[in-house]
Amino acid sequence: MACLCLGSALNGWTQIGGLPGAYLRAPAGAAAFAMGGAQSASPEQLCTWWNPAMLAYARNTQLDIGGSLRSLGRTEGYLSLQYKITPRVGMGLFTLYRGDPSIDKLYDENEEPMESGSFTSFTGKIGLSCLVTRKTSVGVNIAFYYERLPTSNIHSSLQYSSATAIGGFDFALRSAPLKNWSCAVILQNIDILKVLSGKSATVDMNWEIGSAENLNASVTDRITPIAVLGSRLDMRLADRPFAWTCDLHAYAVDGDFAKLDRMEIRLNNGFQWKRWDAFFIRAGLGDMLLNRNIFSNTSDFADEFSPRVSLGFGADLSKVQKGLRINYGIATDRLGAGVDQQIDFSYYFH
Amino acid sequence: MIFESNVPRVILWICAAWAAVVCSAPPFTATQEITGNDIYSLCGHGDTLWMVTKLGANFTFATSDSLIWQGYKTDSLNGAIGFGDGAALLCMRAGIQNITAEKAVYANRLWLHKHSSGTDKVIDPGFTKADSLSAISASADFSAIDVAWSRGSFWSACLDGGLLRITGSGDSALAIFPGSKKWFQPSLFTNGAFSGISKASFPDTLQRVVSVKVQDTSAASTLLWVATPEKLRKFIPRDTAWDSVTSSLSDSKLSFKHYRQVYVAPDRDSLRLFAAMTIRNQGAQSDTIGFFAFDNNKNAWTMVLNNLDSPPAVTFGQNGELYVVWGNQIHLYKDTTMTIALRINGDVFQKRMTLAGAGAYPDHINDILFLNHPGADASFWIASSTNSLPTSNGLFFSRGEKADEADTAAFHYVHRDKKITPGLRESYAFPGILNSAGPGKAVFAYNLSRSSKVTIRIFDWNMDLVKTIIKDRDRPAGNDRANGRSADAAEDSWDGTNTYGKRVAVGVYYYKITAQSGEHSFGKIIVAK
Repeated sequence: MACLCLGSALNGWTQIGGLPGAYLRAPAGAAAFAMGGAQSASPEQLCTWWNPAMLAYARNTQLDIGGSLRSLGRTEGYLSLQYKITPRVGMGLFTLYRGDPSIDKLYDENEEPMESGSFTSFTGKIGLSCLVTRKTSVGVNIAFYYERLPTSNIHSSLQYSSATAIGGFDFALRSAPLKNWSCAVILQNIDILKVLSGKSATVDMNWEIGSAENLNASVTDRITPIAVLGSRLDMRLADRPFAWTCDLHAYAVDGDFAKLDRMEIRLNNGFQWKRWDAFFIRAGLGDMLLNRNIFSNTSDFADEFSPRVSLGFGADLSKVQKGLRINYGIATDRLGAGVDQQIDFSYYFH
Repeated sequence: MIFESNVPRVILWICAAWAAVVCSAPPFTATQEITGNDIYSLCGHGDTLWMVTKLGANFTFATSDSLIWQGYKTDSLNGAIGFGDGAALLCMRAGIQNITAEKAVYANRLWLHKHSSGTDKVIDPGFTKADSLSAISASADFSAIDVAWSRGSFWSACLDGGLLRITGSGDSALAIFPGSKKWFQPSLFTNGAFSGISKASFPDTLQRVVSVKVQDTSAASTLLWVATPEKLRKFIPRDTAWDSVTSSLSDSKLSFKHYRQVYVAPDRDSLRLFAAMTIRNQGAQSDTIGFFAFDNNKNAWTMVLNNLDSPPAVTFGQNGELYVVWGNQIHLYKDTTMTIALRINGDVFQKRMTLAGAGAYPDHINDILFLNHPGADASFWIASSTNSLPTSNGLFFSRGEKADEADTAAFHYVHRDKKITPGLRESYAFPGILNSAGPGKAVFAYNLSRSSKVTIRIFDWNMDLVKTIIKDRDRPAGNDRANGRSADAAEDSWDGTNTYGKRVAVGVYYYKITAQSGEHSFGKIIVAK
């Protein structure tokens, strides 16, 4: 209700669509994916991606590997490693591929078919976390971004361009003030080095785009910073552990750190029920847009309101291999073109 | 041992022969539709029309009620074309893609197509075959930029290569420089220098030949008008006789700089010469291009049009009327007083269109052609192109063109439209890559099986809504329309911006076309700014 009240104070119409770094906004990890992308307060896997402050709580070295098939040919794959350095300090490495390997049915301005192209992105993050108190930890990531896609068509051949950026930082604070409630605050995609040198805190993706007429057109995209508030409440349902997670993603400034015309808030909700000892059932409702149109312009709101409905499960495969877990998630793609699916395996070293 | 020592050489010769075959093979792909909607030049005679498009060349029998096209796809043509006696000669771009130190670099190649036999031939006159990129860049420019036909031969203005004569069979190519009486083999003029010929024999060697036109193709002997930047000459090949025309301008406030193009009216009784020249107005700081008519009485050039962007497209009507493209309008001059009788602009154009809205007034009129057909109505052709979709581009034509606004013939529109499967089973946006060098908009192409309200939306990789292009707009069934499409090209297009008009980030975007009838389609667009 608080989220709804906050969202209704905001102006209508979504604005983040088309801002740089769209591929960074989708949830990673099958568990989080099945829970509607609500996993920031207390992630159980891919902590470097979701909340680096959780790395300090790593009990063992954990390896996660997984991938995703999404509608319209979008794919992804990820690899994560998190481990404890000292009793109070944890560290994580995370790399994510996202792309579209088959961009077909491309035609030039004369409606002549072009060859198929592909979009590729790699994101790498290195995280470090430290326990401040027994209930509070802080964490930081430094990120690497790479994108590549065809940007022109010369003599019937696609010409690719790429952009790279190093130095995007994520800052995280995680606290568990109650025994069954934890919360987190995370700022993502901030270039602190530029802040310290007096410039805007943007992560610049510099493209050199070639074409027959202009061989080196420089284009700079600035990845949009995001503020995330996360919450996790642990309860019991039918005398079994039940968790409700909630993430609020706020987009207030663009990549230039200029205030957006329309600040935007998105709400993710997730549920996890440990129905059996080695089996989790998960569900979620993610990417729920909150703004004034809910009350004042329901027609426009209906156009833009396209939540992600997700389901999934997690299973402990210790009977197969000690420390092995599998997670699976399936969700609507928000467009009606199909479904998105993710699967991953976690391995806890003992 | 002999065998062993000769093996590498034999292999080398086989490779060289194979490379020669590959390099000389025509890089054309035959097609039965017009090769492109950006049309740059027109040429024709009798009942035959040729045109050069951005993506190749086409010809058709222009008197036929339904135009049946034969086409050849290639990106090697530079736009210059000549036609006569059942053969067309099309000039190719100098140089070949993928220039490397090992490959031959063609300075000047031409493509000859003979209608009677349906045969093609790529002709390399042999001006320069440099063996490296550095050599070709240091040499002269032999590009063929103008072609005329007369009595069994093609004549080509080859810039630094002079005037080239190619027999109709394409077996022989000889060149001559204006003012000279000596023909020479182009292969003797290699890398910008003569080989074995005294340069002093050619007085105009340093002058480029920029234009060539034939005066009266039906005359007993060939009479050409050949323009170098400095002089315009009359040339009678039979006698190898040259005679120059004055470059004086009747307006003393103008000063002549150089010739760009020459045009000759096909009148048999009197000579009517026109030329595009670079000139400078008195007191002006820079040169401009003007269109001039030669005044036989004053023996000087009189300016007709000033401040042209480039030499105008010119054609002559059935009774000697002069049509000139200037300022993207077609100006008609009926008589020698050079008073404009009619301007064909956007308004006139739309009134004359057969189907309203089928072809909006084009961005660029590149060429016009008046074709006299013995025993049939003459036809008038307009070649156009665009650099900003969605604007109609293509070919426009009328039959029985009258030099009178009150009684004008209707314009028909020829435009290549790719067939699209109905029922939204197929859709695409073109161009699929939006970048600053492109037309600025991606136009959606789709075909509804029945009329319906249509919504088109754009999404990013995370399927966040970027923009609603149209919402619940009425669109007809594609098969009910001439172009087989339901899309309204003016509205159903995306300029790469979001709802707030800001340019979206570089990336891949997804669109969804939804019809209330239940049909829907998805596709992808790449935005590269």
